[in-house]
Amino acid sequence: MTTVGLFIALGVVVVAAVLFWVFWTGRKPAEPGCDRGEAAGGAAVVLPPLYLIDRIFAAEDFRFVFTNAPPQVQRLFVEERKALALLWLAETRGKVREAFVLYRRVARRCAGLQFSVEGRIALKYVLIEALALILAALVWLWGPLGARRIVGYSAALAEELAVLAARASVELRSCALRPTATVATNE
Amino acid sequence: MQPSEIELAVEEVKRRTLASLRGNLPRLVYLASTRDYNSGRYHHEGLANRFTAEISACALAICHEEVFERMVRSSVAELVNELQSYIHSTAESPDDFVGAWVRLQPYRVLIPLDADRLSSEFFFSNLRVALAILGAPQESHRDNPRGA
Repeated sequence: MTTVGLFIALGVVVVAAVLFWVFWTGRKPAEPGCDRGEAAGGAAVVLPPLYLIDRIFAAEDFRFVFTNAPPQVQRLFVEERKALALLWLAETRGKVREAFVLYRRVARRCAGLQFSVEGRIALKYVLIEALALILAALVWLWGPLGARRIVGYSAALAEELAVLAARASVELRSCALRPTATVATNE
Repeated sequence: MQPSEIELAVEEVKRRTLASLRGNLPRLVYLASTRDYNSGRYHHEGLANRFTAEISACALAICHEEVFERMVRSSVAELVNELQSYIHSTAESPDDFVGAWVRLQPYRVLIPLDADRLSSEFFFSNLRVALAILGAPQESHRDNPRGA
Protein backbone atom coordinates (compact mmCIF):
# COMPACT_ATOMS: atom_id res chain seq x y z
CA MET A 1 0.00 0.00 0.00
CA THR A 2 2.85 2.39 0.90
CA THR A 3 4.67 1.54 -2.35
CA VAL A 4 1.48 2.02 -4.38
CA GLY A 5 0.86 5.29 -2.60
CA LEU A 6 4.41 6.39 -3.38
CA PHE A 7 3.97 5.65 -7.09
CA ILE A 8 0.63 7.44 -7.16
CA ALA A 9 2.20 10.44 -5.43
CA LEU A 10 5.09 10.45 -7.94
CA GLY A 11 2.64 10.26 -10.82
CA VAL A 12 0.64 13.18 -9.43
CA VAL A 13 3.84 15.21 -9.02
CA VAL A 14 4.91 14.51 -12.64
CA VAL A 15 1.48 15.43 -14.04
CA ALA A 16 1.35 18.56 -11.87
CA ALA A 17 4.84 19.57 -13.05
CA VAL A 18 3.83 19.13 -16.70
CA LEU A 19 0.61 21.11 -16.22
CA PHE A 20 2.43 23.86 -14.32
CA TRP A 21 4.98 24.09 -17.13
CA VAL A 22 2.24 24.24 -19.75
CA PHE A 23 0.38 27.02 -17.94
CA TRP A 24 3.49 28.94 -16.88
CA THR A 25 4.96 29.08 -20.37
CA GLY A 26 1.51 29.93 -21.69
CA ARG A 27 1.36 33.00 -19.42
CA LYS A 28 4.60 34.61 -20.51
CA PRO A 29 3.85 37.99 -22.06
CA ALA A 30 4.55 38.53 -25.73
CA GLU A 31 7.99 39.93 -26.38
CA PRO A 32 7.99 43.51 -27.64
CA GLY A 33 8.41 43.88 -31.36
CA CYS A 34 6.90 40.54 -32.34
CA ASP A 35 4.16 40.68 -34.87
CA ARG A 36 1.30 38.55 -36.06
CA GLY A 37 3.51 37.13 -38.77
CA GLU A 38 5.53 35.24 -36.19
CA ALA A 39 2.36 33.97 -34.54
CA ALA A 40 1.43 32.47 -37.89
CA GLY A 41 4.40 30.03 -37.57
CA GLY A 42 3.71 26.30 -37.55
CA ALA A 43 5.73 25.12 -40.52
CA ALA A 44 5.61 21.33 -40.45
CA VAL A 45 8.73 19.61 -39.15
CA VAL A 46 9.88 16.72 -41.34
CA LEU A 47 10.73 13.53 -39.47
CA PRO A 48 12.91 10.75 -40.91
CA PRO A 49 10.74 8.59 -43.25
CA LEU A 50 9.06 5.54 -41.71
CA TYR A 51 10.41 3.19 -44.39
CA LEU A 52 13.92 4.05 -43.24
CA ILE A 53 13.06 3.07 -39.68
CA ASP A 54 11.66 -0.23 -40.98
CA ARG A 55 14.92 -0.86 -42.83
CA ILE A 56 17.22 0.03 -39.94
CA PHE A 57 15.40 -2.40 -37.66
CA ALA A 58 14.65 -5.01 -40.36
CA ALA A 59 14.99 -8.56 -39.05
CA GLU A 60 15.43 -9.70 -42.67
CA ASP A 61 18.84 -8.01 -42.85
CA PHE A 62 19.96 -9.51 -39.55
CA ARG A 63 18.91 -12.97 -40.76
CA PHE A 64 20.80 -12.56 -44.03
CA VAL A 65 24.02 -11.31 -42.44
CA PHE A 66 24.02 -13.93 -39.72
CA THR A 67 23.47 -16.66 -42.32
CA ASN A 68 25.90 -15.47 -44.98
CA ALA A 69 28.71 -13.54 -43.31
CA PRO A 70 31.63 -14.53 -41.07
CA PRO A 71 31.63 -13.47 -37.40
CA GLN A 72 33.71 -10.32 -37.92
CA VAL A 73 31.26 -9.03 -40.55
CA GLN A 74 28.33 -9.91 -38.28
CA ARG A 75 29.93 -7.80 -35.53
CA LEU A 76 30.51 -4.95 -37.99
CA PHE A 77 26.86 -5.13 -39.09
CA VAL A 78 25.51 -5.03 -35.53
CA GLU A 79 27.72 -2.03 -34.66
CA GLU A 80 26.67 -0.25 -37.84
CA ARG A 81 22.97 -0.80 -37.16
CA LYS A 82 23.39 0.25 -33.52
CA ALA A 83 24.96 3.52 -34.63
CA LEU A 84 22.17 4.08 -37.18
CA ALA A 85 19.46 3.36 -34.61
CA LEU A 86 21.00 5.89 -32.20
CA LEU A 87 21.34 8.42 -35.02
CA TRP A 88 17.67 7.95 -35.91
CA LEU A 89 16.77 8.45 -32.27
CA ALA A 90 18.83 11.63 -31.97
CA GLU A 91 17.38 13.08 -35.19
CA THR A 92 13.81 12.25 -34.22
CA ARG A 93 14.23 13.76 -30.76
CA GLY A 94 15.71 16.90 -32.30
CA LYS A 95 12.84 17.26 -34.78
CA VAL A 96 10.19 16.59 -32.14
CA ARG A 97 11.79 19.19 -29.88
CA GLU A 98 11.81 21.63 -32.80
CA ALA A 99 8.09 21.06 -33.43
CA PHE A 100 7.30 21.48 -29.77
CA VAL A 101 9.35 24.66 -29.34
CA LEU A 102 7.80 26.13 -32.48
CA TYR A 103 4.35 25.34 -31.19
CA ARG A 104 5.13 26.81 -27.76
CA ARG A 105 6.44 30.00 -29.34
CA VAL A 106 3.20 30.42 -31.26
CA ALA A 107 0.95 29.44 -28.35
CA ARG A 108 2.64 31.97 -26.09
CA ARG A 109 1.41 34.78 -28.35
CA CYS A 110 -2.21 33.80 -28.02
CA ALA A 111 -4.61 35.08 -25.43
CA GLY A 112 -6.66 31.92 -24.92
CA LEU A 113 -5.05 28.71 -23.69
CA GLN A 114 -6.65 25.62 -25.20
CA PHE A 115 -6.06 23.22 -22.36
CA SER A 116 -7.07 20.04 -24.17
CA VAL A 117 -4.66 20.67 -27.06
CA GLU A 118 -1.89 22.05 -24.86
CA GLY A 119 -2.17 19.15 -22.44
CA ARG A 120 -2.20 16.54 -25.21
CA ILE A 121 0.85 17.98 -26.91
CA ALA A 122 2.76 18.38 -23.66
CA LEU A 123 2.00 14.84 -22.51
CA LYS A 124 2.94 13.33 -25.89
CA TYR A 125 6.21 15.27 -25.76
CA VAL A 126 7.04 14.00 -22.29
CA LEU A 127 6.15 10.45 -23.38
CA ILE A 128 8.38 10.67 -26.45
CA GLU A 129 11.32 11.92 -24.40
CA ALA A 130 10.84 9.08 -21.92
CA LEU A 131 10.56 6.49 -24.73
CA ALA A 132 13.69 7.88 -26.38
CA LEU A 133 15.69 7.27 -23.20
CA ILE A 134 14.34 3.72 -22.92
CA LEU A 135 15.05 3.03 -26.61
CA ALA A 136 18.62 4.34 -26.33
CA ALA A 137 19.21 2.06 -23.35
CA LEU A 138 17.73 -0.95 -25.18
CA VAL A 139 19.82 -0.30 -28.29
CA TRP A 140 23.01 0.07 -26.25
CA LEU A 141 22.37 -3.09 -24.28
CA TRP A 142 20.80 -5.42 -26.84
CA GLY A 143 21.28 -3.80 -30.23
CA PRO A 144 18.52 -2.62 -32.60
CA LEU A 145 16.58 -5.89 -32.57
CA GLY A 146 16.14 -5.54 -28.82
CA ALA A 147 14.28 -2.28 -29.34
CA ARG A 148 12.13 -3.28 -32.34
CA ARG A 149 8.88 -3.64 -30.48
CA ILE A 150 8.68 -0.10 -29.21
CA VAL A 151 10.38 1.56 -32.19
CA GLY A 152 7.24 1.49 -34.30
CA TYR A 153 5.18 2.93 -31.45
CA SER A 154 7.76 5.68 -30.82
CA ALA A 155 7.99 6.60 -34.49
CA ALA A 156 4.21 6.79 -34.80
CA LEU A 157 3.99 8.90 -31.63
CA ALA A 158 6.65 11.29 -32.90
CA GLU A 159 4.81 11.63 -36.22
CA GLU A 160 1.57 12.26 -34.35
CA LEU A 161 3.14 14.96 -32.20
CA ALA A 162 4.73 16.71 -35.17
CA VAL A 163 1.40 16.75 -37.03
CA LEU A 164 -0.55 17.84 -33.95
CA ALA A 165 1.90 20.64 -33.17
CA ALA A 166 1.92 21.85 -36.78
CA ARG A 167 -1.88 21.75 -37.03
CA ALA A 168 -2.31 23.54 -33.70
CA SER A 169 0.20 26.19 -34.75
CA VAL A 170 -1.74 26.82 -37.96
CA GLU A 171 -5.04 27.04 -36.08
CA LEU A 172 -3.53 29.51 -33.63
CA ARG A 173 -2.79 31.79 -36.57
CA SER A 174 -6.26 33.24 -36.22
CA CYS A 175 -6.21 33.57 -32.43
CA ALA A 176 -6.32 36.87 -30.58
CA LEU A 177 -2.82 38.04 -29.73
CA ARG A 178 -1.94 38.87 -26.12
CA PRO A 179 -2.19 42.64 -25.60
CA THR A 180 1.31 44.21 -25.75
CA ALA A 181 0.27 46.69 -23.02
CA THR A 182 0.80 43.76 -20.59
CA VAL A 183 4.55 43.94 -21.31
CA ALA A 184 4.77 47.65 -20.37
CA THR A 185 2.70 47.10 -17.17
CA ASN A 186 4.91 44.23 -15.98
CA GLU A 187 8.18 46.11 -16.42
CA MET B 1 -3.79 17.19 -68.26
CA GLN B 2 -0.64 17.81 -70.29
CA PRO B 3 2.57 16.58 -68.69
CA SER B 4 4.96 19.37 -67.78
CA GLU B 5 8.31 19.83 -69.51
CA ILE B 6 10.05 18.44 -66.45
CA GLU B 7 7.87 15.31 -66.47
CA LEU B 8 8.66 14.80 -70.15
CA ALA B 9 12.37 15.23 -69.48
CA VAL B 10 12.20 12.71 -66.61
CA GLU B 11 10.49 10.19 -68.92
CA GLU B 12 13.16 10.82 -71.50
CA VAL B 13 15.97 10.05 -69.03
CA LYS B 14 14.22 6.91 -67.84
CA ARG B 15 13.33 5.64 -71.29
CA ARG B 16 16.50 6.46 -73.20
CA THR B 17 19.24 5.97 -70.62
CA LEU B 18 18.21 4.33 -67.38
CA ALA B 19 16.24 1.54 -69.06
CA SER B 20 19.42 0.29 -70.74
CA LEU B 21 21.26 -0.01 -67.41
CA ARG B 22 20.61 -3.16 -65.45
CA GLY B 23 20.19 -2.59 -61.75
CA ASN B 24 19.90 0.45 -59.50
CA LEU B 25 23.61 0.75 -58.70
CA PRO B 26 24.70 1.37 -62.32
CA ARG B 27 21.85 3.89 -62.65
CA LEU B 28 22.97 5.64 -59.49
CA VAL B 29 26.55 5.75 -60.70
CA TYR B 30 25.44 7.13 -64.07
CA LEU B 31 23.20 9.83 -62.62
CA ALA B 32 25.88 10.91 -60.15
CA SER B 33 28.33 11.15 -63.06
CA THR B 34 26.13 13.75 -64.79
CA ARG B 35 26.71 16.04 -61.83
CA ASP B 36 29.60 18.52 -61.77
CA TYR B 37 31.64 17.82 -58.60
CA ASN B 38 32.57 21.47 -58.28
CA SER B 39 29.14 23.04 -58.60
CA GLY B 40 26.76 20.19 -57.80
CA ARG B 41 24.79 20.98 -60.98
CA TYR B 42 23.56 18.27 -63.29
CA HIS B 43 24.23 18.50 -67.00
CA HIS B 44 23.47 16.30 -69.97
CA GLU B 45 24.19 17.73 -73.41
CA GLY B 46 21.57 15.79 -75.34
CA LEU B 47 18.85 16.43 -72.79
CA ALA B 48 19.74 20.14 -72.54
CA ASN B 49 19.44 20.42 -76.32
CA ARG B 50 15.96 18.87 -76.31
CA PHE B 51 14.72 20.79 -73.28
CA THR B 52 16.51 23.62 -71.47
CA ALA B 53 19.58 23.27 -69.25
CA GLU B 54 17.47 24.04 -66.16
CA ILE B 55 14.77 21.51 -67.01
CA SER B 56 17.26 18.79 -67.85
CA ALA B 57 19.14 19.47 -64.58
CA CYS B 58 15.88 19.23 -62.66
CA ALA B 59 14.90 16.00 -64.41
CA LEU B 60 18.27 14.41 -63.69
CA ALA B 61 18.01 15.45 -60.02
CA ILE B 62 14.53 13.91 -59.75
CA CYS B 63 15.72 10.64 -61.31
CA HIS B 64 18.75 10.62 -59.03
CA GLU B 65 16.59 11.00 -55.93
CA GLU B 66 14.22 8.24 -57.08
CA VAL B 67 17.00 5.76 -57.74
CA PHE B 68 18.71 6.65 -54.47
CA GLU B 69 15.50 6.06 -52.55
CA ARG B 70 15.12 2.65 -54.22
CA MET B 71 18.63 1.77 -53.09
CA VAL B 72 17.95 2.92 -49.54
CA ARG B 73 14.82 0.75 -49.47
CA SER B 74 16.84 -2.30 -50.64
CA SER B 75 17.76 -5.06 -48.23
CA VAL B 76 21.39 -6.00 -47.57
CA ALA B 77 20.86 -9.16 -49.65
CA GLU B 78 19.63 -7.10 -52.62
CA LEU B 79 22.56 -4.72 -52.24
CA VAL B 80 25.06 -7.59 -52.25
CA ASN B 81 23.49 -8.87 -55.48
CA GLU B 82 23.57 -5.36 -56.99
CA LEU B 83 27.27 -5.01 -56.12
CA GLN B 84 28.11 -8.41 -57.55
CA SER B 85 26.32 -7.59 -60.83
CA TYR B 86 28.02 -4.21 -61.00
CA ILE B 87 31.46 -5.72 -60.37
CA HIS B 88 30.80 -8.26 -63.12
CA SER B 89 29.79 -5.48 -65.54
CA THR B 90 33.05 -3.58 -64.94
CA ALA B 91 35.15 -6.63 -65.80
CA GLU B 92 37.44 -5.75 -62.88
CA SER B 93 38.76 -8.40 -60.54
CA PRO B 94 36.34 -8.62 -57.60
CA ASP B 95 39.20 -8.41 -55.10
CA ASP B 96 40.61 -5.28 -56.76
CA PHE B 97 37.17 -3.70 -56.97
CA VAL B 98 36.27 -4.40 -53.34
CA GLY B 99 39.74 -3.29 -52.17
CA ALA B 100 39.45 0.00 -54.05
CA TRP B 101 35.91 0.70 -52.88
CA VAL B 102 36.80 -0.04 -49.25
CA ARG B 103 39.85 2.26 -49.36
CA LEU B 104 38.50 5.11 -51.51
CA GLN B 105 34.80 4.93 -50.58
CA PRO B 106 33.71 6.30 -53.98
CA TYR B 107 30.10 5.49 -53.07
CA ARG B 108 30.10 8.68 -50.97
CA VAL B 109 29.73 10.80 -54.09
CA LEU B 110 26.86 8.73 -55.43
CA ILE B 111 24.19 10.28 -53.20
CA PRO B 112 21.95 13.20 -54.25
CA LEU B 113 22.99 16.62 -52.99
CA ASP B 114 19.86 17.01 -50.88
CA ALA B 115 19.87 13.53 -49.40
CA ASP B 116 19.09 13.66 -45.68
CA ARG B 117 21.78 12.62 -43.23
CA LEU B 118 20.08 9.46 -41.99
CA SER B 119 19.38 8.09 -45.49
CA SER B 120 22.95 8.87 -46.53
CA GLU B 121 24.52 7.21 -43.49
CA PHE B 122 22.24 4.21 -43.93
CA PHE B 123 23.29 3.84 -47.57
CA PHE B 124 27.01 4.12 -46.72
CA SER B 125 26.63 1.66 -43.86
CA ASN B 126 24.88 -0.93 -46.03
CA LEU B 127 27.55 -0.61 -48.67
CA ARG B 128 30.29 -1.08 -46.07
CA VAL B 129 28.59 -4.25 -44.90
CA ALA B 130 27.97 -5.50 -48.46
CA LEU B 131 31.61 -4.88 -49.36
CA ALA B 132 32.72 -6.67 -46.19
CA ILE B 133 30.55 -9.66 -47.12
CA LEU B 134 31.95 -9.79 -50.65
CA GLY B 135 35.49 -9.24 -49.47
CA ALA B 136 35.37 -11.87 -46.75
CA PRO B 137 37.05 -15.19 -47.47
CA GLN B 138 34.52 -17.80 -48.62
CA GLU B 139 33.86 -20.45 -45.98
CA SER B 140 32.32 -23.84 -46.69
CA HIS B 141 29.69 -23.56 -43.91
CA ARG B 142 28.28 -20.31 -45.31
CA ASP B 143 25.53 -20.18 -47.91
CA ASN B 144 26.43 -18.44 -51.16
CA PRO B 145 25.30 -14.79 -50.79
CA ARG B 146 24.01 -14.94 -54.39
CA GLY B 147 21.39 -17.40 -53.18
CA ALA B 148 19.82 -14.91 -50.73
